[in-house]
Amino acid sequence: MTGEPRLSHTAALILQAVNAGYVYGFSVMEVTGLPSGTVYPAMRRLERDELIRSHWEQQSIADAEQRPPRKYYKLTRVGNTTLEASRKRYPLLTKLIPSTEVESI
Amino acid sequence: MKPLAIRAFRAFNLATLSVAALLIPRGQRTEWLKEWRAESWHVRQACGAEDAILWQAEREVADFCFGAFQDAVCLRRDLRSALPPRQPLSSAARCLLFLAGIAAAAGCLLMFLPGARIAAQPSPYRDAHRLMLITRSGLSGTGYPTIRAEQFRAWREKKQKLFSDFAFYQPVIRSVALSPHRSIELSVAQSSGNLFDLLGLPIQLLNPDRILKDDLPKLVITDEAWQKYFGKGQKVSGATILVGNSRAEIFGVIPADQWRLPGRVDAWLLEPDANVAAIPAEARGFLVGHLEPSPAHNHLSDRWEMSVAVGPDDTDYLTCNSLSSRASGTFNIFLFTVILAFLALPATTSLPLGEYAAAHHKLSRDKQFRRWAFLAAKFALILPIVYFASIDLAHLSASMSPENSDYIQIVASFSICLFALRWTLRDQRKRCPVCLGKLTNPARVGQPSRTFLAWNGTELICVGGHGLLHVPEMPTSWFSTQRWLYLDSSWDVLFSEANLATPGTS
Repeated sequence: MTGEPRLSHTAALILQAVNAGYVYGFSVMEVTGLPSGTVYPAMRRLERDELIRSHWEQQSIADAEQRPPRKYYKLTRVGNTTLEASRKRYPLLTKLIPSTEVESI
Repeated sequence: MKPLAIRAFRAFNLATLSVAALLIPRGQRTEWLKEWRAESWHVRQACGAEDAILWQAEREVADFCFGAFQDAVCLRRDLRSALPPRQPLSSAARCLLFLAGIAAAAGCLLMFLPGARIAAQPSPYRDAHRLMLITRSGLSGTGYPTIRAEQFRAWREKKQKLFSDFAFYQPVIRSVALSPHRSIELSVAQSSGNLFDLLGLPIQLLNPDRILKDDLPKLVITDEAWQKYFGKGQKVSGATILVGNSRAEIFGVIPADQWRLPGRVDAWLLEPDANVAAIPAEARGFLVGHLEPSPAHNHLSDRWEMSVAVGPDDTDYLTCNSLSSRASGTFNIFLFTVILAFLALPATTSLPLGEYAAAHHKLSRDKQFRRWAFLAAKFALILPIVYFASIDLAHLSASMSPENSDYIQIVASFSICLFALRWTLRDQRKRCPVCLGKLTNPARVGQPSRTFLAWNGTELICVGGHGLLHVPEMPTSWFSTQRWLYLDSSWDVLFSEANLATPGTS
């Protein structure tokens, strides 16, 4: 027994998406094809389990671009470890969401 | 037009998100709404519908906004599943709640039954322990009038050492003329004028300012009769009506439930002394005497006998019953029958609760205390049930005579109490001493033919894994009562599996 949480495929997919650089909810929805009612609560659960963490963009940056500030998500160390374990369990994860399309925050 | 339409769409989307946010717990609502709003802006941007109406884009944004409801529902489901499972009430708690419910129901029924409510209330009379209802010996409690008017007049006129005053009443059915063409039959107690003064019952005067004629009898009616026959009319005060063949003035009203003396009475005709003297000598009624306050009378109990010489060769034997004893009669009956039931209990069931290994590590002092406290709580809850239920049964019918009510109360109180005590002990014996849960899964063990070689009987188990109860089929010298066998920790593995019943539940 490893002690790492075993993730469902959906949660692993979201974790892979965040790791791949899709760092806010809507982009995760777009890349995974999961609906809103799945992605946001799942991200809350991942955040509660400390696999990802979130932070709000600075208001000044959003104001400069005349848009509302966004909430960004990032994998934690535990999240990275868990994702590694999940990739072994779900080998197609990396093929579904390759880690090349990294967006800068 | 277009900016207006865009604003309308945005307002609609914002309203949708705000409504969805109402489903989010208050502490997280702002955060969620902020994220949804930010994301919806980006959805719109991604669909290219920032400055112009694109129906496909608006649909995408609307889909995103309606998805917020799914987010909220999902979040609530998560929160609900994250809550610790609600602990079901333990078997012991449910048992006590059940008893408390029965006691409350019986208590509520007592409040609804007028006869029962009156029986459970204290005496409404002033100085009730000195007020004695005097009846002929052997006829006390029968409800029949036994004292002759002549005796009352004689005792009242003669200086007394024992009593300071007497009042007399004689219930008779009389015709009361409500109007020249309408009369009704009422049970009217022809009484001495001092009856209510002696009892200390306040009469509600219908018109306190009206000066009444002294020479006419005064009619006091129950509030029920006043409402039924006089329509609660204040104007009837002082009116003169015909009661039987004599005229009387309507004087006042008293609540019907304040009258606790023998005889069902709708009205009282308080006669002036001249009329009392005219009551036929042989007319029989009820006599109330007020004991002279004196230290010499302190030794008198609530009920005692006395003899009165009525002539050179004749003696009357009388019984004096305190009116306070009549009021506390129901409680005395209850106490008596409870004691009787406790005495009768060993004849109906065995008293021992079983053999328990006192030094066993599993039964801490707290658990032992909890077990005995549970038994005590059951006994404590049984008593009000017995009291209320027996009074309810005794006064179910309003037409029941007081004597019959007493008999019914005695039988009901004793029967219910004995049954309840028996049930309490049997219930306690069938519970685990550790968790107080009901023991289950009875299994037959042994054979009756091998009684002298091994025990045979029933084995029950605590689903919490605390132990086994062995109940012998035939008590023997080496196995006379049920025996509790504690299970040690090596058995825990059998009971730690999920879905086994929670300790303390049955």
